[in-house]
This record gives sequence, C-alpha cells and structure tokens, in this order.
Amino acid sequence: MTENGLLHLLENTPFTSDLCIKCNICTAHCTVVPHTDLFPGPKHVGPQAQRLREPGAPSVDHSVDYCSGCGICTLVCPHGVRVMEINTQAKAAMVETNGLSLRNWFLGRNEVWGRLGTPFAPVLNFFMRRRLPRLLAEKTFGISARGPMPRWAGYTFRGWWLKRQRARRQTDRPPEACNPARTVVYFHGCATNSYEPHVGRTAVAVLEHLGFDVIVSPLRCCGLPMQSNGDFKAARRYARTNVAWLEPYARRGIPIVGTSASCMMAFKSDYEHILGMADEATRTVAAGVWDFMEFLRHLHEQGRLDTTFRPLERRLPYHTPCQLKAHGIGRPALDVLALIPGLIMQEIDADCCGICGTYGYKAEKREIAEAVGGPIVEQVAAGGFEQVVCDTETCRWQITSLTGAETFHPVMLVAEAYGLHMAAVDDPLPAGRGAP
Amino acid sequence: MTVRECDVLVVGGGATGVCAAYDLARRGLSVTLADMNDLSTGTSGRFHGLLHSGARYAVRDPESARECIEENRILRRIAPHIVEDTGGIFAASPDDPPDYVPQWEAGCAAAGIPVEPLSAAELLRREPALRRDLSLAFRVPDGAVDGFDLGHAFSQAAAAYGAQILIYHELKALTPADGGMRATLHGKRTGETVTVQARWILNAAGPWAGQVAALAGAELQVRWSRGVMVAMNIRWVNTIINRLRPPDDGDILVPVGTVSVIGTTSVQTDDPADARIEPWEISRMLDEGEAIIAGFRGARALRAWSGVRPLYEPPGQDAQGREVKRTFGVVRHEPGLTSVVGGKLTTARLMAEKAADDVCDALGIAVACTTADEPLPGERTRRYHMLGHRLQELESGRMPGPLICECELITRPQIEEAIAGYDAPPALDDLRRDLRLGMGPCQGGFCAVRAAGILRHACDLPAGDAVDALRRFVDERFRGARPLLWGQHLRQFLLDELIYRRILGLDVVEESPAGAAGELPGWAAERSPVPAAPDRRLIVVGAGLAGLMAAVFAVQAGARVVVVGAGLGRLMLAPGGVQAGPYADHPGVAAFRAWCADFPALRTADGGPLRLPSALGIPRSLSFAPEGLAGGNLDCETPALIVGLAGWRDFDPVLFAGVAGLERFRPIHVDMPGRRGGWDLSPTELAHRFDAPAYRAEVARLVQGRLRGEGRVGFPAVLGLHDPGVREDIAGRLGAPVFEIPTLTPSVPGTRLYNTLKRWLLEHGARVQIGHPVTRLLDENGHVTGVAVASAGRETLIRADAVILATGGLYGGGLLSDDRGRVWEPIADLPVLAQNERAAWFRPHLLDPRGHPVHGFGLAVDEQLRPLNREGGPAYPNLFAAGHLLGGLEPVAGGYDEGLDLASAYAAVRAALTANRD
Repeated sequence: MTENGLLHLLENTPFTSDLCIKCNICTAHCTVVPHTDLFPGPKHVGPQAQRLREPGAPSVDHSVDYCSGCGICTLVCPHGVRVMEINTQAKAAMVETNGLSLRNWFLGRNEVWGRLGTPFAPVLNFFMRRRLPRLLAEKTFGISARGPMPRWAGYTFRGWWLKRQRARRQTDRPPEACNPARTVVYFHGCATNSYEPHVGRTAVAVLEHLGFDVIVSPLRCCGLPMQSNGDFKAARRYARTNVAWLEPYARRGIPIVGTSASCMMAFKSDYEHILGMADEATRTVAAGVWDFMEFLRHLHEQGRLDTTFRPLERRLPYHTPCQLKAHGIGRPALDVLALIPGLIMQEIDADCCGICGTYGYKAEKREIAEAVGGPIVEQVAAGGFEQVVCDTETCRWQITSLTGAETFHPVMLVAEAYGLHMAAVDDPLPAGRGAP
Repeated sequence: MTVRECDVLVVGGGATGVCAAYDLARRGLSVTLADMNDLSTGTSGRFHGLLHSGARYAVRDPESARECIEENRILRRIAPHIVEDTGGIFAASPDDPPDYVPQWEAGCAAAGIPVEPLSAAELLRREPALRRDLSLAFRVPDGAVDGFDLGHAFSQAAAAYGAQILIYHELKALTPADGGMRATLHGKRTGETVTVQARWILNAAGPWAGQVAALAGAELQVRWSRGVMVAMNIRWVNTIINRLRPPDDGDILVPVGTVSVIGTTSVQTDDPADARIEPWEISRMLDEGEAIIAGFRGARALRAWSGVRPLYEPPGQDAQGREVKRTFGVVRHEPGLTSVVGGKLTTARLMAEKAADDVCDALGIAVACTTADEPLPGERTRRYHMLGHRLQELESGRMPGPLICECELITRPQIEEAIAGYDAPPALDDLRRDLRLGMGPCQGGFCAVRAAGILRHACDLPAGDAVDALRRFVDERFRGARPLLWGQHLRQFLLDELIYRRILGLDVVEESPAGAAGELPGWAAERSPVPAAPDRRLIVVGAGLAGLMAAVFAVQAGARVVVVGAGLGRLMLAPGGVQAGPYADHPGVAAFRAWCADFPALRTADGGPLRLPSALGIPRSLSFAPEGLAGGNLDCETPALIVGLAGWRDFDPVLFAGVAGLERFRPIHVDMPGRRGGWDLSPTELAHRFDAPAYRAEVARLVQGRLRGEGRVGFPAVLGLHDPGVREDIAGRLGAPVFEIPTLTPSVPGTRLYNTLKRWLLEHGARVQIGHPVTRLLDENGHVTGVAVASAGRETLIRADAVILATGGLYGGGLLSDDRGRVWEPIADLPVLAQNERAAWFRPHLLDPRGHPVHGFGLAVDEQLRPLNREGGPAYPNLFAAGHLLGGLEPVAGGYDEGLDLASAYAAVRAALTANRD
C-alpha cells in the first residue's frame, strides 16, 4: 500500500495489526456491530483478518464492506492498532479485486454533482425532496430514499469568492507574496461549495474580522468520499493535487484552515495512513492544517483572538463528529464557545451520528446508519433541543434528518457573537434537511 | 513380542529417513522406518522452513550450492504441493563487504543458480518493510517448505510403495543375526517391544546417528550445532530475505504461513537433544532482524525454538560451526549398517539417494534411484499455505459455527471433528498441533477455555477434568512463551493472565480470603477528604478505572478536568466487582461505592466481602460487587438455574455448574432468539440485544418453561448494556431473582461502568478525549504546566495546574519494556522499580498464586503520590501517579486490583488539589 517508504515499519498501517492482543475493546465500541450480523466487527475484519491477508493476492473477505469507517475502533484501541485504516485499505483491495460499483463511484464524486447541479438547484431541490424520484433512485441505484439529501444553494462558494475578488480587484496571492503572520488559506470543501456556501462565507467573515488576509484554495475534493468507497486511485489523484497546491503555503508557515473536520482529517492523517502517501510534502501539509475551531482556540491561547463577544443566552447541545475525535485535539469548538458569555454548551455522549460520509446514503446500510445515530436522537429529545451544533456537513444533515433539529457549524455562533452574521452573511441558509 | 522382517530398517523419521524409505521402497525393497518420536520432530521439524536455492553457499561451499539448486528443482517437480514458491532475495547494504557481491555472483553462475538483479524501486514495491539501505538486491529461486509437510508427503509416498512406518518406537539394540541385523525397538506409547529382522540398517538418525552407530559397535563422529529460531507474529515479508554477505547468525528471514521466522544462531553443544534458548540468542536474532527491517526489534516474537544440526566431520578435519561444510557423508560400517549424516533439509532426497545406493550396493542389488523422475504418488493436498485460505473459507460460509480460535480462525465444528479422530480424550495440546489452536498471537488466552468446554461436551468429561486440561494447556503455552515476554507480547500475557485469574479463577487452588497481603504504602495512611478546589485545572492521563475515577473525584471537588487516554483501559476487561483487599476501608473505595449508588446498573449489594463464582464456577473473593453479580453468591444456599445460550462460545453453563456443584446449580441451554450473530459474537454485542424488550422477553419465555422451582437464575453477564432495567425485567418475568456470571472479555459489567463514567463526566463538564497518547510533559521552572498529545498531523498542547498519570502498568502501556530487560516510563522517563534480568520477571508457572515479580514493576512515589526522580525526591511538585502505574505492590497476589486504583486515584486527587495553592 505504501507509495513511499515509512521510516519505521510498525507505523505502517497494515503492520499495526502486530500490536493487537484481541482484547475486543474495539468490537465492544464498534458503532455498527450491534445493528447487523453482516459485520463481524472491527477486530475481525481489521487486525485479525489482516494477519491472514496475502499482499498482492486477490481480496477474499468482503464483510469489511460493512465497516462505516467512523474510526471509533482506532480511537479506543489501547495498543495503537490502526483498525479503521486497515479496514479502509482492505476495502480498496476489495475494489481492486471486484471493481467499483456504479453507485459507489457516483457517491464518491459528490464534488462533481455539487458543481454540475448548481445551475439546476430549484429543480433538483424540488425533485430530490419528492418521494417518488428518491424511491426510484433507491431501487435502480441503491441510494437510500431516506438518506439526508442536501439542498443545492444555487451558487457556489468558490463562485462567490471569485466574484468578490474581482469586484475588489483582488487575486489570491501566491505563497511567497504572503505575510505568514496574517494570512490564512481557507479550504472550503465540496459541501460548503455547493450546498452550504454560507458556512464558507461566515468563516471568511470571521477570519477577516480577526485581521487575516484570506486565500481560498481552488476547489478540489479532499478525496475522502472516494477513499472511503475504496477508490484509492481517484482519491490519490485528488490528494496529490491538493498537496501540491497547499504545500508551498504550509512550508511558509501559512495556516490552512477548514470548516469541514472530515476533510481536515484527510489532510492530517488519511493521506499518509490510509492512502500511503508518506512523503515530506504530505507531512508538511498535515502539520500545517487546522480545523477551523482549533485555529480559533490556538489564536486564543496566543492571546490573538478578539474575545469581545456579545452574550448569547442559549443552551445548546454539541455533537463531536467521529472525524473530529480522530484529530486528537479535544473539543476546540467547546473551548472557543465557552468564551461567549451566556452560551452553555452540552456535549452529546455519542460516538458517531451514523452517516459516515457516504455510508448512510447506501440503501442496504441506511437502517444501520439510523440506528447508530440513536443516542443523539435520545439526548436531543431528552433535552428538548431544537438546534444542534456540529462541525461536519454530512453529520449535520444526518442529525437534522434524524432529530428534526436545525443543525449548524459552531462558526455560526462565533460570527453571531461577533455581531457579524447579519452584515457579512446576507442570506444564511438552514442546514440541509432529509427527504420528507 | 512382535517380529517383523524386512530388507532394510531405516532408523530416523526426519527428512532424510522418510526420503530414504521412499527411495528404497521404490526400488522394490521391503522397508520399515522407525522413529523414537513422531515424524519430523527432530532437526527436520526445528528449522526455519527454507528450501535453499544454494546461493547461500555459492562462495564458500560450491558443492553444497550445486546440490541445493539441483535438489530445489527436483523437489518442486516431484512434490510441488509442499513447496511455497515465495522466491528469495539476497540484499546487501553499503556496510556489507563490497568485494563479496562479485564473488557471490560468480559462485552462483558456476553453480547454475539463476540470479536476477532487482532495482531498488522493484525491491521496495515487493518488500516495503525492508530497510532502504538494503538496496543492492537479487532474486533467487529460494522457497519455503514445512518440515512436517515434507515428512508426511514422503512417508505417505513410501507407504504407497509398501513401507511400514513405526512412530514412537525407540531403537534399543542392534545385533547381527541370521545374516542380517536384528533391531530391538521399544514402543513408547504401546509399551510393547518390537523386533525387526532386517538385511541391512540405514542409520538416518540425524543428531543421534553417532548413538545408533554405537549400538552396532561402530564409531561415527557427529558434531552438534544448536540454532535458535524466532517466529515473529506476522508476515513481515512475503519473500525469503537473505543478507548478501558471508553466512552468519540471523541473516535469513523466512515467511511461513501467518508468521515469519528469523534464524539462526550456531552454538556448539554436546547434547543432541539440546533445546535451550538463551536470552542472548533471542536478542541476537532481533539485532539481525533490525538490520533487515527497521523497527523489527519492536515487533512481536511469538514463538522460539532451537534445533540441533548434525554436522558430519570426516575423520581428519577439525572445523568449527559454520566452517564445517554443509555437505553430507555416507559411511558404511560392517556388518550391516550404513550411516548418512550431515547435509541439510534441502538435499534430503539426494542424501537418501546416495545412502540407498550404498545399501543396494551392500546387498548386491542393482536398481537405480528413480525418486527424482516422477512426482510423489498419492494425494496431493496443498496444506502448506494457510494464509488467506481460512479467511476465505470463513467468509464463503464453508466454515460454519462460532469462531473458537480467533487468531488462527478455527470454528467449533472443526474442533469437534478433530476430537472425533481420537480414541481417547485428546489433550488440548494435541488439538493445537492438529489445528493450530492457540498458536496465534493470543496463545490460547481466549480459545483455550472455549475449547475445554467443547472437549468436555464431546468426550463427556467431568467438568473438573476439563478444567485440569485447561490448566495444563495454559501452563504449556506459557512455558513456550516465557522466553519472549517483553513489549507487546508481555501485554498479551498480562491480559491472558487477567482472564485466567480474574475471570476464570484458574489460580484459585484453595479458598483463601482476598487481601491477605500486608502493609499499606505510606500514601494510603492519609484519610482526609478531597478539598474543594473550584476552577483548578487538572489533566488526568489514562482512561482506566484509576484515571476516570480520579476525574470523578476531581470534578466532585469542583476542578476543571480533562481526561486524555491513548485508548480505553483495563476497566473494560475486568469481570466487574471490586477487589479492594487491604484498601477496603480507604475513603477512595468508599467514595466509589457511594458514586455507584446513583446508577441502578452499578449499585453495589450491601455488605461484603462476597464469594462469587468465576466464569468457570470457581469461587473468588470480592470486597463488593454490583447487585447483578452479587446474586451469584456461593454462600447462598438457594438452588440456581444456570442458563447458557446455545451456540454462544463464551459461556458454558454445564462446565460452570459442574465446577460450582451440580447439587445446587442446574445448567440448561436455551436457543438464542433471532439473529445468531457472526463468527465473533462478543458479550457486548449480545448485551445490546438484551437491551431490546422483545429480545429479553423471548429469552425469559424460553427459560420460564424450564424452571423447576429454583430460587434464583444465573445468566452470563450480558443482560443489557444501556438499559439498566434488563435484569429486573427478566426477574419479574421469571418470578425469581436473576444474577449475572462473568464472561470472557470485553466485560459487560466493565463496559457499563465505563459508559456510565464517561456520560457522567461529560454531563458534569469534564472533557474525555480518547485515542491519542500523551507523549511528553510540558514544564516551566520545575513545575509541570501541561501535556503534549500526539494528535493527527502534529502535537496538541493542553495546559493545567496539575497532572495525574494513571497510564497503567505494563499491561496498560504506562510502562514499556524490551527484550533486553529494560523497563521504562515513556512520558516523562521517570525511574521505574523493576528487575533488569528478564528471566526473573516471571515464576515458572503463570498461575502461581504468589503472582510474579513483574506485577510489582512501576513508579516509586512519595506520600503525596508524586513520582520520585533518580535522586529520590519528587520529580515535580505537581505531578502525581495513580493506579497500576505504581510500583512495589502486589495487586494480583494481594487481591487488590481495584482497591489500588480507587484508593490511589482518591489520594492523588487530594494531593493534586491541595499542592501548591498560591
């Protein structure tokens, strides 16, 4: 799997199976295992099967397809086995042997559909919220009729940015022309681009409020949807393009921040540990990438965050996406939101919302995905909450579809507390809602 | 007394012996082969599995090189099913002697060994684990062969030509008689004496060839050289790797099935049965492995063995070890005996041919050898290459039934089939050899108890006999692993030990009250409560019982707490209930019990201590336990119905009741409703099912009809994970109290405790962050100011006023260890109380009730639980330690696993929130 050699073999994802002592803690915490017999559990399809997989030989075990990739197994493992990463690589081996299904190819290209669909937003939004076309898509394609379909915004974040730059007669500066102390590269991701451009616009507004020059990276999917569907070839293509573009900024010490915790995790870890890109450029980017709220917390620790927040007298639940847990940075959103007077955040005790990128859109897995999100539904209902805060897009759509609560990114609260949101973000859109 | 007659008696069932039996039988002679043990149990079964291409000998021993490549080709032709065509790579690093490569290439060319240069890129593609500096590489036609497979293949072929095979028959005497030789054999398993009247004897006894010759009054000089091999847990390489340099110790790495074997040493010995494994030999192999693969030393070694090479030394030579040529000799001793000695497994067929030529010559028979001409007769199942095969069988549904051995993938029907093949109940170790049961990484930790239950069922054994069989197997596995217990494999055995002791109760020889152990450490004397400390920032490193309870105590005192755990702790594995021992009246233990009282699933039964049954029905003492477990109290005379779920591998009610006493405990099985589950149906998964009201109602319905007035009903501890009312619900339906019995890990009572702790902490504003280790402390002016976490991409810093380390001991990962006996604390490099002599870490028997010295390794602390530095003072004024990281104690033998965690967590929090308040 490794493209370039790692210096130390025990760090190489498949070889971490050497560390497994079969304690089954991962299986006990797997979010999928309780809800289906089709998945024998992370220890079984992970380190246990890995020991018996022959490199280069055709893939023989396919139950790994039911792994959702939430990565809780990797987190709870006390021994350093990269369970989820092993599973994802096994999925890629499976795709190499069996080929990629049309459905999974389609789901992996969210970026393309987002862009292509933008001009047809009203029509698509109408049809994608009707039962019949969704059932048709489920029957013919295997895309669940209950999967939470995002709403096309009708314009793209990237388009908005370029238009604004043109209007201001500005262009994004190349890395060598930037002042690293006051420049930030914003990576918006596909979902922000096509479905939730208001999140990107809010993020830009907050960064500019804090005095940063913002550079927006050209849109490239991070590759994660392809990666989680086992299409490593395509994922690597995107990953290399992203690394090539971002690396000169990272090398200059210019922070790369993003509002999608899952994309950021792809940069920080997946490129190396799943796609096997163990080169210096990839590592430089990984070390220079920040989750948006992590970056704000970092500014605060350095005394650089404006903390003149307006009070927000609210009590809100917060869901930490599994992808954000995998960053290992704690709960930066809670740390930052704790600075806003009056705002009380309650962390929901849930490992995963169940959607896991494209997993919860697959007809045969939708029921599992909904069951995995159960604890969130319970806790949101128990607290009588009508809003939920969460850092990643598909999680937000899933939570909204499961609970009916409006779900939004923590940056929205920051902007509101700065008094920015009316001025800088003229048309905040509600988060996507599931099909009726 | 049996008398057999034959033309030739072959003595020795190693590779040469079976090949010679086949050869002679093919030539039309009547042959008997005898071995004192099973086939291939000597040198032929104790090598690394390499079928040489000859390239290893190309420079120094061209004759051997030529023989090897020829025999390599012949074996692939006549017995392709026993050769795994891995190919071999010879690789040199810049440090290897540069003039060796051209010599080697010339030697290979002269011997006719095809050599294909590999580019560095191609080498990297094929073998990503190799060191980058091994860049000068060549491919050669090495292969892997299993000595047992070779023995079976050739002995079956010999049998097809009429040869008789006598295993477990030891040669006692050889005397000339009736124009031939008479051999007296002792049947070790039958006790019978067998006499074989043969025209000629072929001595292929390997290391014992000298002794066999001596029985006939002949002299044969055999030198013995012992070599140690180490099997690493996984297949690090897919090709045989040889160092391209003059042959030396540990320069061959052979992938065999699921493992890879590194070998060997070469030590002169005066014992043909020498099976010693010296610690330096293991370390030497790891050193050499490290030179092939960076990080090899940190990888897990699973098994080690040593074999004795019989080196033939023709009279007049006086070479040593590797200097002795690896060719062989055929020596005729009058009257009636030919010896074949030396050589190597690769050339076994050739040695057999030359020896058989000599025998035929002696007997005046002019038939030429034909063993190289055609493939072996008979069945040719490819047994050797297990990698991937069982996984495929399992996935495709061709291997139904629950998975019993999770490492080597063995299901219940396979074990039952193997047992059916024996006339008398087999030992679990026999099943190991048949199926590889317990040969994987966990070395029987999980499968042994399951297999013991299957054995009891299949052979209708008394429960006590099955438990004895289990104890023996545990002991045997431990004996084999003991030389290799450091690092991750040590952690494996500490988990296995926890299962055997705490869950199964196998170490209980006679009932003794828990907590017999003596003096309390100094810090435990202080009994004052934790002071209120609003807004103090505290980091707790570790998410086991000590870490999470420390967080609870600190939150109760008003502190702001972040828990950082590399993963989840031992809490998930312990069977539930508290062994407090001498800490029973410590305020930390009382505070824990009080905290539990708020949660129905955790609430402890009044009073204590309790005598509760282990998963095997063996009584174990606990200071107190959740109500669910406490209902199983063995001091309670009320008869109990013990319910097992049919087909579920992790609890056997019959074994339980047989041990606990059939007069009071009546076992039944009920069918599992609904889904049967995958191969690995874990206790927690089953517990999830019981959370569903319909599921438990159905189970209760099945049990109800089988109650015969028992006053209580015992289930395995799977009665719900999230819903605390499951047990009461079932009890209500059955009209009798219900209790739970511990099962294999992950423990449901432990998981309930973890889940409750985490939820409570989140609800009370604490942070719990699991999955990334703390790598170092942050400090300023001698004070700890926080920790650095190895988060994705780069490290993340967290600041605090004090830090508590509750990272666990050698199991938890709070201490690390290596093969050289070094034990260290990885976060702050704090000095550790430990013994450096690895041989002293464990007593000879794993289940020794006195525990092991290794249990006492850990940090020395002062009365404030501050770890000491090398000068004996506190390392930092605001750094504290708790739980199994503490050294100099005996939590296992003393019976205070949880008591230590709870008391030290409380004391550490008190100290942390009191210290340095400005």
